[in-house]
Amino acid sequence: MLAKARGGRGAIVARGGATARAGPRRPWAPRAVLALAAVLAFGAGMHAVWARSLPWRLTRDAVKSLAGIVAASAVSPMDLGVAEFVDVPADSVAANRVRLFGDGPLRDRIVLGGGRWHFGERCGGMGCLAVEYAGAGQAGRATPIAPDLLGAGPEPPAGVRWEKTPGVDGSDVITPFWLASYANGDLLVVLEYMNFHFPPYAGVARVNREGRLLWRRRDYSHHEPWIGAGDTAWIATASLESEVQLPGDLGKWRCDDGPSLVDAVQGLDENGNPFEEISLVEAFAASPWASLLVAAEPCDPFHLNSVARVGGDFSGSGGARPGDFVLSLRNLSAVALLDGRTHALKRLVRGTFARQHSVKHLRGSQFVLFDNQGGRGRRSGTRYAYSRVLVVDLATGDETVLFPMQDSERYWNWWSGLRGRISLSPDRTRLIAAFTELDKVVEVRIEDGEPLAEFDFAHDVRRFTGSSAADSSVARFGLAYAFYDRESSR
Amino acid sequence: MGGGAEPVGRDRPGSRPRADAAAKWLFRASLVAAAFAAGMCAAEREALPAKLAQRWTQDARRLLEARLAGTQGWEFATTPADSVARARVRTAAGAALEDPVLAAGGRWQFLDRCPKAGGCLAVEHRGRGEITRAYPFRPGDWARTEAGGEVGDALVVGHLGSFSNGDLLAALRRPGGVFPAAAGLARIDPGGRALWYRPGYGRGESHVGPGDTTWVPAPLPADASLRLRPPPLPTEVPCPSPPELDGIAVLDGEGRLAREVSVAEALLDSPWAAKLARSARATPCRPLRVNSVSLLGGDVAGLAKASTGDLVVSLGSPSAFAVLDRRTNKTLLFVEGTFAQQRSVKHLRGSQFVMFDKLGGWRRANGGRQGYSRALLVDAATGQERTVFPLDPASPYWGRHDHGRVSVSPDGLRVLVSLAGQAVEVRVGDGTVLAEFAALHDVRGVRGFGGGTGVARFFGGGGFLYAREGARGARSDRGAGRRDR
Repeated sequence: MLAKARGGRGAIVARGGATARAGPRRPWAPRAVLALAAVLAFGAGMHAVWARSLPWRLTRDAVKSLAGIVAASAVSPMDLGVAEFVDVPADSVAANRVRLFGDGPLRDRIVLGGGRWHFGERCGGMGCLAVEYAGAGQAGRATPIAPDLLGAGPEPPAGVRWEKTPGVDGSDVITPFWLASYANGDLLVVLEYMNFHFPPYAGVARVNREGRLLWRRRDYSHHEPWIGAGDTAWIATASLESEVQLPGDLGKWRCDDGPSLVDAVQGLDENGNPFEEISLVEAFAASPWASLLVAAEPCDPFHLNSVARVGGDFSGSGGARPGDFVLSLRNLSAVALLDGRTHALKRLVRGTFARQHSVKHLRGSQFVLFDNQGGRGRRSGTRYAYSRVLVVDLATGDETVLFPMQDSERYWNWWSGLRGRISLSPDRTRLIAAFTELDKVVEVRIEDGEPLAEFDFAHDVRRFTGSSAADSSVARFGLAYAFYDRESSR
Repeated sequence: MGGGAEPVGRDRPGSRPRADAAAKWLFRASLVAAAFAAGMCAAEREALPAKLAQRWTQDARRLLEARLAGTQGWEFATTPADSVARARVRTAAGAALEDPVLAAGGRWQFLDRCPKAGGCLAVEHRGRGEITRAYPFRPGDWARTEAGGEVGDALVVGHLGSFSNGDLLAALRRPGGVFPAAAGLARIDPGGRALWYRPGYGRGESHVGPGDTTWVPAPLPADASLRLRPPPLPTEVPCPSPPELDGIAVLDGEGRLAREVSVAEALLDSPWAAKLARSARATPCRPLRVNSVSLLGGDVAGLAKASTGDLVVSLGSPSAFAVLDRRTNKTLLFVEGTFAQQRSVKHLRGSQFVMFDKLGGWRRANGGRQGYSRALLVDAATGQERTVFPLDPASPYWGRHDHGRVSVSPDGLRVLVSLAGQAVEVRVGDGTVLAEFAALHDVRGVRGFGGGTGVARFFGGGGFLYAREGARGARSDRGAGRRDR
């Protein structure tokens, strides 16, 4: 009979002590080697994360893709941009859309931007792309969303590195985001994915007021465009870069979460064909502000969120000229002035504003912007932040809060930290400020900051969801955008 | 059929041991792979093993760096050893210096003047560069006990300041990458004796002002309830430890803490509060990096709300400087520009400030862009900037310098720009170089300096400053009552 020896696995010893089969001399050695290998592998794993090396990058991409696939497998209303359902009577939504204050009807036609499931009282199908309001707040023409506006769309242009989650089409979560009017009333529509996609930009299109798609381009066009003479559109675009070499000895941008999203300004002709691209990296690198690139967020260093041009009536010593580009760079909390001809960065304006949007030339050397995170106040000893409309004078550096007024009880804590828009009336005596995340838009008199009208963007979604339950019939999307139909663009 | 058939698959003779061995290797490989994945997980989630490993790695690296560094950086110079004393100061056309200049030293420096102490803490140059005063370097006498066993001799002399009676304010730093870099701050008399020593202070450039009051950049204990990002902004503090918030400590002439100025509170209550919120997001562990403090001089025309004696605070992060009311601690001015990671911001006159701009200088070179450090003049009222030095790309001082400072002459017409073991005195108006200084030292016979030329240029230390820079502060004090409000 055989018995196992105490000291080692596999050492078979015959009774009486004679070895039948010789066991390993150091039975602990393989285990020690294995343990050491495991410890080293553990250390190598940690190092892979710290060094952001290939295994970490592969794992990161795999996890992100998996999360995208899982999320896309069951699209919920929340994935279509519904921020919340609100418990108000659905039938009252349209009636409460506009609230006029003070001195009479709306003086200019105002276009309220729509999207999937927006303005259910006016459009079936997928909702309204836009609805006009005028006079005493009556709704006018509504532009429906054409199905071909939101489908998968054409192939991206050659040279565009199109990121896509494997197995996820994403076209079912595309929605119109930013709108602007062409001279003939057509709309430039900037599209975004509401979920599952990085980057969220889905392209740009031109649609007439009946909703017919005139052209569509699938690229990384994004945020608020500017339409100038000859139906030329200037709009932010982006490229995906694994790493970006900064000028001189400043090193590189390398994003931990994936490729860097590097913005540029793109010119599109009336048919959507790009004719010019202005690189922000190059403009900065050739400017005195090149060193600021060091402190930029490497994943999205600029976050260019509006393009505009300086009007013909620019005056003062602010260093700008009519036709210069005015760019809002959210992630630098700065406004860049680019020469209209050479595209050189002429000035970088920073102030008390933070993560602003929609910078527009107001008059003289004054610019107006939607300051998302720069407002600060104190109530009952507690500090708080608020969003505001700010006028910045390039010549003097002076800033004036246009809205909300200091003593406002209604607007003191209005907050739209990440989105917002300003539109200037044709005569530039009024402006529209979109507190987008609040789903509120307010028209303000520029002279004294007095609110003239308010728009609420709650939407009756019963005809889209089929639900008539009180708690899921009125939705807020946090996507309130509006603009004057004949916005001052000089 | 069947009886003579050869066994197949696992029944084949010898296949089971092979399969067992393969399974064993597979098991081992998967164990190693699992350990790798666990390591990645631990690092990604900053779990305890990863935290410990990171700390140990950092400590080991710092120890190694400290051992390798030994002292502040140096390099051999080609200057003949016999002419070192003359080569330290060169004035234009042999003219005399208009104001005495202090040159920081340290261990093995100015051995010709402080041989017994093993080096001078600092010396004072006058005339055509003659050394008229030398402060022996004896940190071992005082830093050892008060710093809790600090090896004083290995410490590096950081920024200097001068008291009205000729005593020196000296910041001591740990060499190499030893953390934390600031060892302490001391008041040293001309005999090299410490009148007081405050461990932990000295991370930036301090200012000795009226009444020998000293303003010192210092980490302040963070108030747990202080939110740099007020609601409804989300609190984003992914820093694993409580964030450091630099402030300013005000010490009296005896080195006692008189009061502290919270720069964070000053900014939070100002229109520039959002700058702090952004910085807290970008550099959550040290959103405020105060790297120098000084005082506004007598002429504050053009600075609408400020008055003489207010604090000028340089913030390396974010790249900006602020003017704080020295009585109410309110932020009066917050200035940004093309400068980046600047330090040593000093008031010149009116609304003009001068600073050492580490990253902001750029020029075209070889088809690309070349960065350089510079002394920059900034007008806070108009936003206009002008490079004071260097102006000539062929200048030997052209390039990036990690260490630098500026010192303003008592009359405010000249600046002394220190750049890595060298300095130039420049006329602010036109950039004319009036004098050049070099931290050259005869190190023949010093252990560790064999095999070279015998002359070493030390860099990374305290640099050069006007001995009576504080005299501007004294005038400031007399003007402090005349506030412009």
